[in-house]
Amino acid sequence: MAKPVKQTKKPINSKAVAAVTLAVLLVLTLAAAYVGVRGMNLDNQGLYKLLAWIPTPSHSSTWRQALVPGADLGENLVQTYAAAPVAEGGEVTEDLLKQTVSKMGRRLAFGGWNSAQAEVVEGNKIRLTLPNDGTHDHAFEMMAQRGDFAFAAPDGTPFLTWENVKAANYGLNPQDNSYAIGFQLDSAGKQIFADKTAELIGQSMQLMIDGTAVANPGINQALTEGMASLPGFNNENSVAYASMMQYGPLPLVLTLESSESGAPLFGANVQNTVIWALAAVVLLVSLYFLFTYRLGGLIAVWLMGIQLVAAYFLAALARSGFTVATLLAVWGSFGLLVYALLLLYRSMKSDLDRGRAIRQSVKDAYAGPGKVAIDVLAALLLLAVILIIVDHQQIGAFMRTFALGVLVDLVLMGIVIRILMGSAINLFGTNSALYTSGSKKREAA
Amino acid sequence: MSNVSIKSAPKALYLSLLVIAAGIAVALAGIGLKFLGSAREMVAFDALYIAMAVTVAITFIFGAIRYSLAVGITLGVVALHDQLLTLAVVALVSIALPQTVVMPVLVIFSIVFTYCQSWPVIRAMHELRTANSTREMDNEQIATAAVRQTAGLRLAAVIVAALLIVAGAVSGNAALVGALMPLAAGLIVSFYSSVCITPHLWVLSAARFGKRK
Repeated sequence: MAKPVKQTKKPINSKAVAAVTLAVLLVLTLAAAYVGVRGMNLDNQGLYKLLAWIPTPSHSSTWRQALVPGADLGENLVQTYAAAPVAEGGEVTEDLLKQTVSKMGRRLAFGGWNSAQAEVVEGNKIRLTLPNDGTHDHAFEMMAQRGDFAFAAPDGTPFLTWENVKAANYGLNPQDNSYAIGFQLDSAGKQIFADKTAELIGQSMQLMIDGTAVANPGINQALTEGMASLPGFNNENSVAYASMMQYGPLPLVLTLESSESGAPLFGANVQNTVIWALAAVVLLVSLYFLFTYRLGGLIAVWLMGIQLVAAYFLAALARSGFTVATLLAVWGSFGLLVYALLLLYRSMKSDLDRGRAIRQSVKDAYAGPGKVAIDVLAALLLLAVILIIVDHQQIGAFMRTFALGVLVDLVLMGIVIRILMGSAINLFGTNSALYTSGSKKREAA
Repeated sequence: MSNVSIKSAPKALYLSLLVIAAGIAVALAGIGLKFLGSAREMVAFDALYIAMAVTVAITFIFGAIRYSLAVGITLGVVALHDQLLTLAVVALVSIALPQTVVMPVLVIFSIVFTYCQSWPVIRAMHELRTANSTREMDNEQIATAAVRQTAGLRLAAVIVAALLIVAGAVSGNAALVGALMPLAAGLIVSFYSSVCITPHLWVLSAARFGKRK
């Protein structure tokens, strides 16, 4: 009878696994940070490139193309318009000027230019302070048109106006890089549109702005759903026409008088100063964590680095621009990560000070204060998502960037910190003095 | 730290109500809620008020589902208090520091401070209540203990937030200082409410809606 073969299980070298895990994550973090600061050419000629996305004071960096500075923090375009009444013999009143500014503000916010400003100057003129992004100069002029939108029959007779539009939007069609305008009608508009498109099958209708046909979409079938999408626009006229559909015409007629460059609304050097000032805060917070929590602090600093790289990347991806609102979203989520780390580490330190083992302290910190951190982040993420759905203007636009930052925080606090902390404990040991300052003194006492 | 008392709850709210009333009064009178240039015309106040209502509703629902009805009510009322008080303080301070178009975003963002300040207090009270019988610790003792227990964390959170706000404020001109003022107001209001409002509200709502687990 043959002897049973003993199956010996090779013990996994936990230290080696931890070292490899930490090394891989460190390389990935440093590579992302390097590309974030320097950008990267994606082909030999540099025709396709990944733009830098982490703001630095360097003027040669490409981050300003990824996060286009808004009128508040970047050079801006100042356009001054003369205002005139719509009808002959009418007057330019203070009330009409206020209404025009309000509607222009809504149009600009609709286009995502939340930092842009409209104001009444010299009693009867309107000044627009716009981000000088170089790609929307014509769009700004178009948005200052009166913008009396209507759908008309081929003979030019209007059959539907902006008053029947419930919501309008615009978007890129990635297949041909053109833009489309989408709209949704109210119940009365839905019926009119269904009847008229049924009548015009095989013909085309006209999209009229201030009495001029700007597009002639063909009609192949009756559109009875009360919504449609019109293709064939570009990045400038799509946003202008969609904003006119959404908000209707300006109460005054504006004529461009002058257009010039201007300093950022919040000061000439604000862009670089804010980058340095925020970097100083990161340094202070990092030093606090390093001195107080030592190896744990180093992991906290690492997580903060990942957070900033990822949050800025997502902000650039969402085309948020470099504005006060974007900085609030990115640095607000950074502050939340610091808060979550404080919750966790303070509990861990308190346990270590009472003589508990590091593994148990970390476990209890996750189970107690860690849950508060996750609760706060989860509630904020839920709130941000709801506000994105509810608000299509400034608050919703801000919440898009903020939600991405909070999502990064949740991933870091829910997964990454456990991996980093677990690996660090496996690799460097469980000596309490490694994870909190003052342990040796307390032990000696 | 003063002892928490059910009787003192209305007193703590008097100051808030007074400031809120003053904020509404100066805004209606046209003295307060001042904006730079014509920025006021660009601000969608209806969107701000809807967002504030959504914030309060989501806070209540999350607290009620995650913890209990008492916690949900406490968090919801604190969120309402903080949002209104922040807006009122902004209305008053804007007389000296006019606001910009970004004001609604900053007022809504102040809910982050409310969560960071009040949530640990509520969680601590909830845990102390679960761990102790009413004979060992009554609700008022629990509230006092929770405020004291979380003081260090809340102060550290205030310092980090204040550092970030100051870093932003010193980077630009006076308009930027004014623009960031709602954040400073939100931070102060949230710290105040976590000490003076949240524990009282929890004591009241736990007595009325809470059940021993």
